[in-house]
Amino acid sequence: MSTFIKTFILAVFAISAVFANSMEGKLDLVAAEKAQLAKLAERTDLTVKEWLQFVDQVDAKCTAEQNPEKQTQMCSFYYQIYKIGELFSETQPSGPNWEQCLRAGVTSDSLSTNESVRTHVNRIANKLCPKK
Amino acid sequence: MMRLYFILPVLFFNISLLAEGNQCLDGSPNNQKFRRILESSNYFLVKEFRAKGLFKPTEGGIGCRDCSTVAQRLGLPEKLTEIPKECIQASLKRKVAQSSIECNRTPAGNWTYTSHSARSKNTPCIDDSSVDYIHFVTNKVISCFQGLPMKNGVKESIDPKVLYSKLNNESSFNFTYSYSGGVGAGQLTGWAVQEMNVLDPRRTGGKTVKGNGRFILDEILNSSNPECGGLKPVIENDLKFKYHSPRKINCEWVSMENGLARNLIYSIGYFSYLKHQIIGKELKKRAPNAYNDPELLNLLTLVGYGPKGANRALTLIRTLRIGAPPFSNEYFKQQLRKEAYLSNTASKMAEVKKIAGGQCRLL
Repeated sequence: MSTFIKTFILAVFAISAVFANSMEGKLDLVAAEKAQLAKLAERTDLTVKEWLQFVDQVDAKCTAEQNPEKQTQMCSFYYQIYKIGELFSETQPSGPNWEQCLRAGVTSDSLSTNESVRTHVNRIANKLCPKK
Repeated sequence: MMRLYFILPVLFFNISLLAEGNQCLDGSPNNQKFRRILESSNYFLVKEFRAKGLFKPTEGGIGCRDCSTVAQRLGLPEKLTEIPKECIQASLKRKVAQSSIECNRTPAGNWTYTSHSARSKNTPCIDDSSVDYIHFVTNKVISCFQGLPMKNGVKESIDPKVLYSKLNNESSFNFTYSYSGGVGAGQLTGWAVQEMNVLDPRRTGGKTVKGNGRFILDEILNSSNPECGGLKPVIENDLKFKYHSPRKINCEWVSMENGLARNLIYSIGYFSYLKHQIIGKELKKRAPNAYNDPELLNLLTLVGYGPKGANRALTLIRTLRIGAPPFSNEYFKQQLRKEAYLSNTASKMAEVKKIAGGQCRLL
């Protein structure tokens, strides 16, 4: 293979890698909310009230956002977390039982489009739900 | 004169079909497995099919001699309440390159199967009898779902045209299609089966935990609708067998005997579950007026059944600001139809309309 062809192929790979990275960076407009979710998932003292406040905040941002692309991402993010919010808001004041948690977990996972969001939401549900 | 206008297109349609020389809408004439099943299987749905005189062993070809299926009114006035046979025929003629599974029952009653690649030349022949059977099972499931309670006081009402567009899009009614993205007639996924029956035992530590949509199967099992009667044996042991994936024992989801019916029950059930419990619930909360528009709700549910899942449908409720003044529901429907999955569905409907040549009464 000639040096020219090798250089050309390398250049194509390099350009596509840069393009893919920039696209990914450009697309993630809810990185701050995701980081906040990750922090909540780390907390050992997280309460139901704090979790519901976070879900409500994201809901409000989904409604208020004016940038169409960011609104799409914000709302999509909201619907990845809302089932575990609804689980606690609809079962107040007693809270959900173990089976309700499992069921909501499956629905929540099926609505998830991002692996790390899914993992964090599951960790939060594990913390707040009753054990078997 | 009026009769001639009616008879001539039907005649030309039949002649054009017979002129092709190939009696299979899909599959190979050398593999007559489906015809043998319909002739001799003792499986209850196949027996019911034969008992009703729907199997015509002497009939050859794929002409549309049985297209005179009388549409029964089941509470949807002015609308066709079933998917007519000629529409299923036209959909099957829409060639879809897809890998498939051919199921075999061993003498001991267990399933074995042969996987066929999309290019295989030896898949079972889907002939006129097979179309009759697909037509029989599909409409039996639709009839069973009409009026089925959906928890929040709502009774299900299936629009055959919506369901037709979904099945035409998913599998073109070829119930043997199976690949990593979906299984069988409704291209079922693991999530759908967990919601409709039981959760994956790995999640529950082995305990049987019903999914959120399982109540729909329970409603079918408790239904007094005679159309549900013949379907009860298909699903009555599903809880016991803990079906939670369409990939575990594939033939339970793609075989002619019970796989087609089970797949349709779960697919239509999951569609109803998404429509009423997920998308409808959210639409009712955010835009009560839009919730009362069945067409809008169906469009959103179709998006929810698509590759981007229910998340996309829910997101669209918010980003399109559905229900917000000054726009009408018609405006929101127009916006929804621009969604890639729906425009793709529409183009497949246009394709099948062309194939049907004006014979499909749903189009």
